[in-house]
Amino acid sequence: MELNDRNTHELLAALGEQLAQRETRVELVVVGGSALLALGLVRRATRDVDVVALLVSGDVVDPRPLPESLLEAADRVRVDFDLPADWLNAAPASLLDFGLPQGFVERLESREYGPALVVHFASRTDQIHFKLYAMVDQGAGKHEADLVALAPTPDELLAAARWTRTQDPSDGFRQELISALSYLGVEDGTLEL
Amino acid sequence: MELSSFRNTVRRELNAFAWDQWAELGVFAPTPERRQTAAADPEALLLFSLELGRDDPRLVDEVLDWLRVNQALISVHRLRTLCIEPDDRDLADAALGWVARWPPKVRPQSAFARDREPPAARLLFRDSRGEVTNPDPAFAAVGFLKPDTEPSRKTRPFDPRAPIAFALRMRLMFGVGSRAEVMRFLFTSPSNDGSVQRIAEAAGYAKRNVSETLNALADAGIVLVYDVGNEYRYALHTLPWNEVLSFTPGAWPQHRDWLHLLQALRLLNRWLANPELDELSPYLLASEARQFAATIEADLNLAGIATASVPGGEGQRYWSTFVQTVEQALRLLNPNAPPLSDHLPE
Repeated sequence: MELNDRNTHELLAALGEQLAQRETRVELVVVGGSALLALGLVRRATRDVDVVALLVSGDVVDPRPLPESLLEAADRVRVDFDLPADWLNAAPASLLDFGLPQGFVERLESREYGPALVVHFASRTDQIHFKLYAMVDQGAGKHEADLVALAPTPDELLAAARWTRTQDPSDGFRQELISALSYLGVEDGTLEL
Repeated sequence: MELSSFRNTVRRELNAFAWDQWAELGVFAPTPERRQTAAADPEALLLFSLELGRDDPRLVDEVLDWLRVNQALISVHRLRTLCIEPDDRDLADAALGWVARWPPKVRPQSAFARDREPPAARLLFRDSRGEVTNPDPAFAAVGFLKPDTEPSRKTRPFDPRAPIAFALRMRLMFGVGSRAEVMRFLFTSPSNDGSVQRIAEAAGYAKRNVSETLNALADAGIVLVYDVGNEYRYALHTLPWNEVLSFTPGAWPQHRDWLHLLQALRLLNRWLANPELDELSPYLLASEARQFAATIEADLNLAGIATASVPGGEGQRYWSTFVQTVEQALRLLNPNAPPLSDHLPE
C-alpha cells in the first residue's frame, strides 16, 4: 500500500491511536511527499513518511534513532495497512546536520492525531527548499515534479538555492544548482550564488 | 457495530455446540436436535468447555461430573499437550485436581503435579459477583476462585457405538494413548490414510510417538504402509472392521479436526472476553483482531479454514475479514449458524 491524498491522514490517525495505546506522546516533524499530501499541495502517491526531526518542548531534536515505542506503534500500523517496513523513517534527519532553513519551526503547519501524536508538516516555503536541494542532489524525477506542483516564484527559488548552499558548498553542486535554476526559469542564479 | 452483541452471538454458538456434544456423550443436558456424525475429540472438547464454562458455571459442573465418571478414558498427557496458554494449563490442572477429590478412581498425585507456582487468585466465572467464601481447593490451587461444589452425579453412561463417542470407543479397545488416536484418525478420515505428519497433527501426539505407533500397527498387519515420493503413508482397510464395530459401509463416524478448530475457538472465546476490547476504537479493535487472528491462523488452516482466501482489509476494514473468518469457523460447528454480517460496519 502507498500513501495518497485519501489515506495519509488515516495512517497518521492510526499511528496516533497506537501511540495512545502505549501511553506515549510524540511530536513528529515531517517533510517530503507525505507532508505535501497532508497539506494538499500534491496528489501523487508516496511510499513513506519522512521524519526530519522530533519536536520536544518546542525544540527541534534529532530523531535518530526513532524512539522504540514509536517504532513499535509504526510496526503495528505497517501490518494493519500493508505498508513497507520503513514507511516511517528518519532518513531526512541528515538535513539537521547543517541546519534547517531560517524560520522553519515558526512556519510548521501542525495537526493533532489524537492525544498522543502531533505532526508538524514542513510549510510550502520550506518544502521548496528541500525539493530544490533534492532535485539537484538526487536528480529530477519526482522532486522536480513536486517542485513544479509547488509553483515557486523566482524569489522563493533563489532563497531556497541560498539555503541549499549551506548543505553542500562544493563548486560542483553550485554548477548543478545554477543549471537547475535556469531550467526552472531563474536566469540570474549565477549572480545570487 | 456492537462488539458485545458479536461476542454474545459467538459465545451462544460455542456454548450450544459444547452442550450438544456433551449431551451425546452422557452429560446431563437436553438432547440435541440433530445427532453428530463426527467423532468428538475428548481432550479438545474438555479444554474448550472449561474455557467456555467461565461464562457458564453449569457447563463446568456437568463437565467435571462427566470427567469424574469417565476419567479412565481421558489422557492427562494429551490434555496437557493441548494446553497453549497458562490459563489452559490452570483449567486442566484444576479439573484434574477436582476429579482426584472424588471417587470412583483417584489419580496419583503426579497426574496433576505442577511445574509452576499458581498465579494470583482470580475469579473462575467471569460474571461472578461478590466474594467466593467457600473456594474449591482444587481450583484454588491453580489460582481460580470457584465455589466449592459436590459432583452433580447426573452423568449418564454414553453409548460407545454412537459416532460421536468413537474416540472413547477406540480407547476402550486400544487403551488411552496414541494407538487409539491413530486408529480413530485412520478409521474416520475420508481416505482412511495419511502421512505421519498429518496423523500426528490430528492425533495430538508427538510425531515420533505416532511414527512408532504406526510402525507397530504396520508390523501387526493392521495398517498398510506405502510410499508416495519421499513420504511414507499409512492406510487402514476398514471393510473387515465393519462387522466388528457394527458400522454399515458409508455410515462410519467422520473425521473433523476438532483439535485445531476447538483450540482456535477456545482462544477466540478468551480473547473476546477481554473487557478492554470494548474500550477500543474501530481501528484499534481491528488491529487487535488482526494480531489475535495471526495466533490462530495455523489452527484454522489445519481445521480447513483457508484464511488466506478471505480478502484482507486495511486498517479498521480488517474487522470484516475477521468476522467472516469467525463465521466460517462457526459454520464448521453448526452449518446452520446464523450469519454474522450484522456485526459488520455498514
